[in-house]
Amino acid sequence: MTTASPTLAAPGLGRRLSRHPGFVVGAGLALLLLLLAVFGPLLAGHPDITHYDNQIAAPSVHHWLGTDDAGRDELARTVAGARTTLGAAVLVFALTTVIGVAVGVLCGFAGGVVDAVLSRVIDVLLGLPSQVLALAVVGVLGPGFGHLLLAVTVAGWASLAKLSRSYTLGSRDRPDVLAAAMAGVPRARVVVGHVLPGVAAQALVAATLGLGDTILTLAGLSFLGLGVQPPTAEWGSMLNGSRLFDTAAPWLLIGPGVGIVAAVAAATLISDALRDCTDPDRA
Amino acid sequence: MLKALTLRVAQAVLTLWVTSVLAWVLLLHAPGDPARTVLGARGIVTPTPALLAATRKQLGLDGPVLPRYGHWLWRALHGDFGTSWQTGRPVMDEFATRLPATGRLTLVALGISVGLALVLGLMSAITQGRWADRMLRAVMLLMIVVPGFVVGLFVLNVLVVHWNLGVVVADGSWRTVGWPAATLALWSVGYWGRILRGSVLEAAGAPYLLVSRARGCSAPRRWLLHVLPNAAGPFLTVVGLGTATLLGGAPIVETVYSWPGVGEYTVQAIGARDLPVVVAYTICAVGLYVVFGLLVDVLLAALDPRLRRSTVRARPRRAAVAA
Repeated sequence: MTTASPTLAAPGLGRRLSRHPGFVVGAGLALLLLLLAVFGPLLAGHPDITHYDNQIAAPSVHHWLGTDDAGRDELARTVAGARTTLGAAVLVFALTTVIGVAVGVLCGFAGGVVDAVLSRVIDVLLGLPSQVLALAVVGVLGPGFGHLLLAVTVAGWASLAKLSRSYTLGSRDRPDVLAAAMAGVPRARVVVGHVLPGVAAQALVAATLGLGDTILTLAGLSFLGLGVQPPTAEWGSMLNGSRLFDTAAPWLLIGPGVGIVAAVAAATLISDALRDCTDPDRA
Repeated sequence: MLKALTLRVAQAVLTLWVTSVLAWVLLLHAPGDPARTVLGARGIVTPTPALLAATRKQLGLDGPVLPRYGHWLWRALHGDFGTSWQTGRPVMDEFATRLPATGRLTLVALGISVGLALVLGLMSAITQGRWADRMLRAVMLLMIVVPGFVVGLFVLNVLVVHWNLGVVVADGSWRTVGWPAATLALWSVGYWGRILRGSVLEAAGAPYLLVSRARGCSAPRRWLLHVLPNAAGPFLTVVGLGTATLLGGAPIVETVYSWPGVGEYTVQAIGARDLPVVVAYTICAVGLYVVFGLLVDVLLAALDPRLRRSTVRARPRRAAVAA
């Protein structure tokens, strides 16, 4: 692991981030995508309404991005897909962070056999190629949204647990933690009140660094037909669905393609900026 | 050094074993009846209960789990991962048929990636902060944010079909490897280039470079003979692990181009719920990854005397995977 881990406690982080050109562009993109995911479906219409008399129509005034093989409005489906894809990414982000922090803090404080066993498991998982792991989980369990989330979470929590563990170990001897323990504060309250906030902040930064990969894996597995199942609109599976017709209808690539690229770009720009601004070596 | 190596080999074996256990835990939770899958592949859609029981026995799916796992492990150690439920042929034979196509794709993609990543990463580091560096960084960023399947679909439908740039007949031969390899290389050029830029800049801050500059050492000599070898560690690691992932077949890019390789075959097998293939693929892909990780460590220790004295690994956190 890196010797100096990034930290949210760095003074003036907000100001440095707001002056980082990459962060400004990335955050702007992310805000745009979030607005699209939250309010877009209200404006763009329903994604599942079929018009079999208007299949595979080129972009027009009525259908800005054209229609797909069932005559559904591609713009409405792209906007609805933002909800599915970004929602899945947010869910995985939350799940990996919570599991990672919980396991890491448990290892750091329990020590002994619990720590030894869990640490071995973490090390083995870190030695596995994450995409193969995710593919294996959905491959054996079968396609589906739940299995997709499980697969990407299984492949992603270990690095956060390792980080949280080392940070917990580091904070055990901190003056405020020792003082609280000596003042007779119960151990559980010491962990929740003094150790957990710092560890969680660290883990959130680290989880953000992996967000771009998460979106890529989610969309990639859905593209292979292993994630969200039709007719639910999702960018990866929309691209998969378009494969049968897209020589005739290349416009079906625009919506979901631009969406995925924008989402991954936003996540990558933000994580690059976070790394630049929180790394003590580069500050 | 020998002790560190023994430890690493033991770690690798442990990793593979845990992977097999993990795969079996998943198998036990897999939905659907394997016997029905196998009979379905033979065209029997409504089998009798007797036939189902007989098929289960034939597949070795009856009896307690532990002896079954032991039996499987023993045969897997001898390179036998059972037979495909779809075709009834040994899984390893199916893989062997598709390995040449994946090998060709890997070789070409690897050549493009290493060459371009070296050039882009080094140039970006040398021109740090200037407009050339900004352009190169933007290009490398773009390369890692555009997923392989988006590139592949764009190439197929816009470049090939509408603009007639080249032909895509996915027959797995050298003649048609160009577009798939370029698509696959795009991500690794960007990712490896970024890694190289970072480690070159880190190495370039060392005081001895100031000294060598003061003593009149030329710029090309300084960057290529002094900085690059010192910055090679993380780059070699991602290249080594990336090679392992490529050899395991890049499922997504192979699927987009219908490239008849190992990855595309596995995706098909997943669709058909051909679980022996999925499990064998997982073990083999992890095996390749672990073995290449070990090779990289040995190579780095051979190149860098500092590493011979410790077990510290110059491995960047994010694993190199073929998107």
